[in-house]
Amino acid sequence: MDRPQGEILVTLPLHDFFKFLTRRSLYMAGFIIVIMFVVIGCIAPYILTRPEEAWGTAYDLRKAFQPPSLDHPFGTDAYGRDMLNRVILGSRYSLIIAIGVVGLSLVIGVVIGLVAGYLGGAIGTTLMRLADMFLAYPPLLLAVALAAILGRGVLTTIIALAVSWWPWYARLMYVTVNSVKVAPYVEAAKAIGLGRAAIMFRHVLPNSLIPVLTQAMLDMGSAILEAAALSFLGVGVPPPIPEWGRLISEGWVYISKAYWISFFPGLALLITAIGFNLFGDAVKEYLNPRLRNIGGGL
Amino acid sequence: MSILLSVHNLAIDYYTLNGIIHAVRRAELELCNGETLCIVGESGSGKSTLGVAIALALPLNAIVKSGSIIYNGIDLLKANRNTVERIRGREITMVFQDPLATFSPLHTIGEVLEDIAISKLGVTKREAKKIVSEVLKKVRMPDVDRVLKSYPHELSGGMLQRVAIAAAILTKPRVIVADEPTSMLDVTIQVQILSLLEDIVRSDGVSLVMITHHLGVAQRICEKTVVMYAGVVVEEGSTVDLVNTPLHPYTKSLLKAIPRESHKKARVVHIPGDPLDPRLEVLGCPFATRCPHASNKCFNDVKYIEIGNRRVYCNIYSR
Amino acid sequence: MPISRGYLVKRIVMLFLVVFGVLVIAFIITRVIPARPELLWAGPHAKAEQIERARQDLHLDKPIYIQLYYYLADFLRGNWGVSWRTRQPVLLDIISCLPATLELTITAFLLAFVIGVFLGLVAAVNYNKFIDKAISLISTVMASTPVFWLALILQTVFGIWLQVLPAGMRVDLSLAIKTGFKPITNFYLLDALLQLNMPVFLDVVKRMVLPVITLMMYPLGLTIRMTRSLAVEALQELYVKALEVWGLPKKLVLYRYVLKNVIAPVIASLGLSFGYTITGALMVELVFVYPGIGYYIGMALLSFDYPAILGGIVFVAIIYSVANLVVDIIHAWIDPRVRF
Repeated sequence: MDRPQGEILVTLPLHDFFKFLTRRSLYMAGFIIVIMFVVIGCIAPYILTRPEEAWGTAYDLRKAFQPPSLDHPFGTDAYGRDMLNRVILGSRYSLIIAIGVVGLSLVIGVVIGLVAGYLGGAIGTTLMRLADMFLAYPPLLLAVALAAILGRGVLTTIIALAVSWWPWYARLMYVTVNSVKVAPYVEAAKAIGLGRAAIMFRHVLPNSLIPVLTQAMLDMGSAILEAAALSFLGVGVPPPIPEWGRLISEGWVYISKAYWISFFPGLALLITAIGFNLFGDAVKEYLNPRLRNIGGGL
Repeated sequence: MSILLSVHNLAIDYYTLNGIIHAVRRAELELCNGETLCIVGESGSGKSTLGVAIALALPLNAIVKSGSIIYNGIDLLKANRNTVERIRGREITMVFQDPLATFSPLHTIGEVLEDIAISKLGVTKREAKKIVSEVLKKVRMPDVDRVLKSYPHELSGGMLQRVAIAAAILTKPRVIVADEPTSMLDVTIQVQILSLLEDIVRSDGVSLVMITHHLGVAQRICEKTVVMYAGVVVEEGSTVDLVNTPLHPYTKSLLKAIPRESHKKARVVHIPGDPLDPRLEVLGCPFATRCPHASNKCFNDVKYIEIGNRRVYCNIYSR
Repeated sequence: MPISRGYLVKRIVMLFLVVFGVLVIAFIITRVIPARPELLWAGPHAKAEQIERARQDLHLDKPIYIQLYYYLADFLRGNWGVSWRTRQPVLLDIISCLPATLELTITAFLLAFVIGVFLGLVAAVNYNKFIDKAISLISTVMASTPVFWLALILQTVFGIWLQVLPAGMRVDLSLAIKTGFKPITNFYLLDALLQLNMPVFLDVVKRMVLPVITLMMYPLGLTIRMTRSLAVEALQELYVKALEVWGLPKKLVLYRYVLKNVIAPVIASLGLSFGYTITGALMVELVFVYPGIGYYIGMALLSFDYPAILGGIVFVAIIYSVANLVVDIIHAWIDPRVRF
């Protein structure tokens, strides 16, 4: 029998989730990658063995273009800078940009989506039409255009990407709010006499946030990839910031002779993105009750 | 009355990512030719699983731990694939609870019914169209041509359930398993669907296994009733006997719990205790924890006792 | 199953509104946000009089809504500015680059769709068995790969080190001249076939292999993942069980009923998939020096050629909107519940 629709508990059972993870090695691997990425990103400046080379302030042309070795596990680049250090420091920028992009676009998107969904009517449709205008641009291209105009920099990259991302969250929020606001517990709140604003913030918002937040977590991986793409094209972060996309474009010219300059940053991107994808899959499967009882279809 | 289908000592487990769920712990029943039998129980009693097992539609993560379902002398659970494919959909078929979910949203009613006719009866497309129109008229469907061209979301729940019944009787089966076919319909429609089923049983001599949680439905349409609790068939007998002189303590509590307006005191008597966790292993009678007459033996040694043409799973009646 | 004319009309009207929105946003980006838009328009090496003339052309002394009017009028008239890099009108540049990109993206996109749906279904039907886990893992890796990095690697390994597949250009010019190849439609594959010019045809195909493979990785990974999860959910639906109970053979149920129900939402997401393909083309064409719109925009980015950058992006956005319209119509044709 179906249970009547109830409110989603906002406090997630984390202990149960962890047990869920340990039973599936792939998801666990994804979780570990994500944790490692976040940790390394946070402590990067403190674990660098050659900080000046990582930041790009020191260079030694005699050590240029050295292939991977014990001394330089990822080799050295055109200026003799150790690539391992640069890649480690680059993780910090990827982390900062990813959090910035997802955070900023979440804030804008959630607010617009909440207002549009809850107030509905003409305001809602107009706001969604506005979101659709932004979504008419293929993914990333709007960010490229904006980044080209705004110039290079970490902040401008974040802004450019957030401007092209917020409509997704606005739309998702709009749809979720629309279905939440007709749920029985909202009716009950109205019946008790709760004011519109109170209902919006205390009931509708928390329950609508869960799908949006899970999506945002998943999207961190895509944000990292898109920021790297912008930097690769030259409209993201400026030199000498060792953001992974930038590192790949720096190594582009030397690719046939010194492949490691582009290879390892890209590998880091790949592994991080895989981690977020696997982790996102884990969260989605965990939150989807129907998928838990499967033994097979036909 | 000859026995058409009998279930003996059946136990079915579901293997899920949450653990092993004992859906059916012990089931016994006998279905005779042309008889209507109701399986009554609460949610989680295993009645749906029992019905699905009879209809040969158990999912892949269901394991039959023990027991047999004998139909026409064949044990359906051990039969080979050809036999199963011959019987499933043709001699034993099923009607489901949610009429809208029973149909693929992207295919017209006509497409589905014709496919059944073509693949189960081996007829050509033209013959199939004729057969389908006739069977829709038989379930008293108004505007047959329009319905054939319609998609499921364009029809009401009642009409869709009629179509589901039509799909079931298309192949002139001998057993129809109906899993709570009216619980998602309006009350007025419920009556229509139930009387439709009654008429089909009478006119075609089909045996009906009706799964329901509603004793009123059982009283109205079923000759025999089987009561299930926590995966165990606790009592079986003619509906009249069962309602007037219930044997098993659970059946007694169930009947007492029905709110009746005739009582001067409008008090709802509920059964004390909690329903059983389906993951627990149970050896004896599952109702023992809530039964006022339970003895120590009830927790690990109980047998089916036959009294006349009734059967009860209870130590009270053992000698 | 027919779609009403009213629906089509509504969608086409919406397309015009969408394009209008695209242009308005582009206007805001190029005229409103920059402090001195005339500098962007005139190019980095412009002299004082050119800058002044740009000010006049852009009507920068007039109020914003007048500027918007001229902006839109210019676009409709075909005046998209002049690329300071090629010194040609931007629109002309774009149209000449278009066939190359279309050949590449449509091929990659169709391959990703067909292979993706097939593998996704295979994985779903074999849920949790080895083949499913293998497909899932591979598709996750594909959907996580940075396309520009993959392009660099493939080009280096196969193009430069192993010299197996040629890297760069659409066709070997000397071969084309020798065999008398004449580009008529500018779709080289089509042209080569029409002229029955097999050597050139094979050469074009050879040069498309690496870019197409690179380009289709990401959409392929996404399509497999999406199809798989949709199919797994679809296989749990009651109607699948009902069809089984009514005795229909498994193959029929799968290929006729489940497939249609899975394809409908997959098609709905095809538009976005095409969008990713186009965006990827930007980087793939740049790396492989494949002369399409992506290469044009990429070079414009590297040389700060703003009219070309914006012109290219707006054009691609329009193509994207048209593609989405087509996808939506196909989706409505398959799924009758969506037509409103």
